[in-house]
Amino acid sequence: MGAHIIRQVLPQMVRDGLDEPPYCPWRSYWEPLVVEALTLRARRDHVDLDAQPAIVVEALAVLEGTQHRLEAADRKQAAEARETVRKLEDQRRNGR
Amino acid sequence: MTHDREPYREVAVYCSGDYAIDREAMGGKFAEHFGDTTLDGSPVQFGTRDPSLVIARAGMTPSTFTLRALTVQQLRACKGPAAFADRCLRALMYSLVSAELRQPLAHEATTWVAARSKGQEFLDLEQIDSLCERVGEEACVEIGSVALQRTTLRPFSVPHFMLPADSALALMRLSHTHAATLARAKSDTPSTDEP
Repeated sequence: MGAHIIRQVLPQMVRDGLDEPPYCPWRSYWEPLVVEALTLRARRDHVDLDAQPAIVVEALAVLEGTQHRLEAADRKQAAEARETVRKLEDQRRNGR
Repeated sequence: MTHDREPYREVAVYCSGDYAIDREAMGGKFAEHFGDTTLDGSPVQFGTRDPSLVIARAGMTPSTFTLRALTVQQLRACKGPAAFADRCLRALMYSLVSAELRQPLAHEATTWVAARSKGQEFLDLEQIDSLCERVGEEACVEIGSVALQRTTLRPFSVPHFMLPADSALALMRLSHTHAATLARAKSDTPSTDEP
């Protein structure tokens, strides 16, 4: 698992334009600020964001921005995979 | 990671210009605690604000200022003034909860507690004036700058609210740096007195 993170997850984060954490990415979930941002996200509809600590709101914005970028990267990767499969199928059909 | 892992909670802050803090004894821990604000062109770093790093001079106790986290609305209000010092002072007015003032930073030892009017989030002007009279405006600006620093994520972003280059505190720090550099250069130079 550790080797997988070092060889694949961290380089992928850099390729996706994210900041490379100085430690295991999963450990971030134990960071008090990240916990606070996730808690705020869960109860966002019931609180006034203007009255929340600015640092937590900024952390929440970064968290959501990162999540959106990762989802976009996943969608792009899935689309490329579908395109590759489609091309292979076309080649197979034409080859017959 | 830094000591200040919970920037949304209250924190006790020391003033770097407080004579009760033994800068020489702290050595490198001084920059680690207060941040690298030597203005010497090296990358600026945040201070950890770890109280365990602070070393006081014998028989002295440094003054501490307790700050709360700024909210989004308060931070927006702090960004209004154009001058850096005014932004810091406004941040101080929103965030300061109490201060344990000790000599020699303050002329007398007192526990200063912020008294805010009901429904008001910032200090009255008389209160901030009284604090400035006790510890000096430079110290108030520095403490306010910490309140602003704590609204910024790190280590992923590096905006740092530095003291203006012409401030007395910044000049003092610069002179300390130069003195340290000269002392090091002198000790590194081989002595020519010996035959």
